[in-house]
Amino acid sequence: MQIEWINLMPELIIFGIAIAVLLGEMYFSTNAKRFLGILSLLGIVAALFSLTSLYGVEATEFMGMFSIDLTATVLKGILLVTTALVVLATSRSRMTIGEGEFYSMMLFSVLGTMFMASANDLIMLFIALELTVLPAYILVGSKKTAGSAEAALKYFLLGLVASVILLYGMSLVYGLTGQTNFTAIANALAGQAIQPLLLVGMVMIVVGLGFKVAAVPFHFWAPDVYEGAPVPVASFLAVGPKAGGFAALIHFFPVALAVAAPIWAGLFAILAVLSMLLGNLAALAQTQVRRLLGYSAVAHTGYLLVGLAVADSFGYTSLIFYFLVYSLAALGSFLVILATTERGLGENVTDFAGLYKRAPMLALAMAIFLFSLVGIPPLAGFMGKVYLFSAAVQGDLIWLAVIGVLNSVVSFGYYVTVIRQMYFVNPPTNEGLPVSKPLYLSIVLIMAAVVFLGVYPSAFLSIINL
Amino acid sequence: MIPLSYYLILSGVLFAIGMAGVLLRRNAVAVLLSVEIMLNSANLNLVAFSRYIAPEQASGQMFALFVMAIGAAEVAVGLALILMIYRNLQSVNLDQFNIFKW
Repeated sequence: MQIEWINLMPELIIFGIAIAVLLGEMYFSTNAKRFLGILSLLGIVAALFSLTSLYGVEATEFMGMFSIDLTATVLKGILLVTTALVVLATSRSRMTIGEGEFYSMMLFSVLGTMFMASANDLIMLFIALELTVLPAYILVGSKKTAGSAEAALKYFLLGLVASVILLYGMSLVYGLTGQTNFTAIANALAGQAIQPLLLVGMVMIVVGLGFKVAAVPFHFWAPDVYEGAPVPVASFLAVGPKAGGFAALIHFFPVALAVAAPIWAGLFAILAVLSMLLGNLAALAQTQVRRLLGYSAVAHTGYLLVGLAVADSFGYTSLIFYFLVYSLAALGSFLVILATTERGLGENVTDFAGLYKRAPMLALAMAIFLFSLVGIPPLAGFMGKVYLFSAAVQGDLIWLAVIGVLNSVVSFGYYVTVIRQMYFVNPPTNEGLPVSKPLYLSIVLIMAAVVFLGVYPSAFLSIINL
Repeated sequence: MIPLSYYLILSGVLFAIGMAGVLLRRNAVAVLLSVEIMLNSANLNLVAFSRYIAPEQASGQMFALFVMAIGAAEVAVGLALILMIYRNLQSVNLDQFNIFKW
């Protein structure tokens, strides 16, 4: 077995940096630990550079367990860029645990997500998934308060049950085919009638992965975790593990279970509708801003699942584009919340009262991110939704597109309450809100990207051949 | 030789017992143990399938070994979290964790 190590370079770099940062936490002095964030950032940038050399490469490693293809490379790119922004933004934040612990856990989770994006084998997929979520459980519980502990325990127990259900489904698929490789599973299933046991296994896998992306009815952890976890962690969770879940969905179902495509596409359509409706309606009732964003994340899982319900390549590429757009806007809004919580604000929607007068740039950024989440032109969210819903229309799922558009209108209702507070309510004081420079830079970069992708989406779409 | 269906029925029963434990028990440690039973039912499936369906490759048994290692890691994280919540609330009863509405 010959391994082209160059194809694994991004993963190897992230792995090495994660270990180095963890060791740094043990051996560095308190002063030197401040540089662990910068070290992580440099590592991610190096991984990103080595990833660009893999653009257009199609290969498999480890006897077909690990596949390098365009979807995986692009998803890894999105993941690394967003993680780099999180690391940059939090590099001056007060941590609830040691810097080294925080960044190494984050990097291990990113490593798991990268393997998930490339997994081409049930064993690889399961291990990668666990590597993604185990550090996430630790990070969620890192605040050592009752709320943080409760969120972590709920996340952990529900996640564990979902993993086991996923594993049981995988064992059934393995039992029917005798194979663990996705392509080999597809070959073994080709030309056969769909057996009931395969359907059971498939539904169990949908349940397990549906939990990871927080689709209704497996979403219970999402609002709690976004509210209870420390804000830097919540901002990472909004992008990282979710990317892995969608990468696994895009890889597993179209490749391995191609024979049963109409059935799982129907399942995803149902999950999409439920997630959009329940996420948006529950978000309308929220007064805590992070919980509001938690339900909004559930609703956006619904929009993203539309791409899987379409079940063709246009659907998948629009899903990836919308994922980029969504993760930028969600990450940006969490970083604004991070900036305000560091000054003791940002728990409730009313805390944003008059933010326009106290920190005009933060208010502008938050408004842009929220408008992008609603899908107002000319921002990136609008273009993302245009592609996603036109994929639905082309795939003869006009009803799904209509539900999606109607839901976007409903979602305007809760996003606008935050914007109204920021711009039309008088602040309790006119005292300014100073923001640390790296966090400010990160927010500005995301804001620029959201506007740029809305005006000129083909910059990214040409990368994924749309 | 014992037919494959015996193993599958046993694993199905174990999975159901574990699921019942997860849904009915209110002690966090008991829930964790129930999940471990479910994990082992899936493992039993993997090993049985490996022996009966694809005996020439041992991929199912390999999978089971990895699952055991992951299960141990999960228990380590889970017990740490339960210990932390016990320090905060002096209880491991899931009904008392109600800062957030479900």
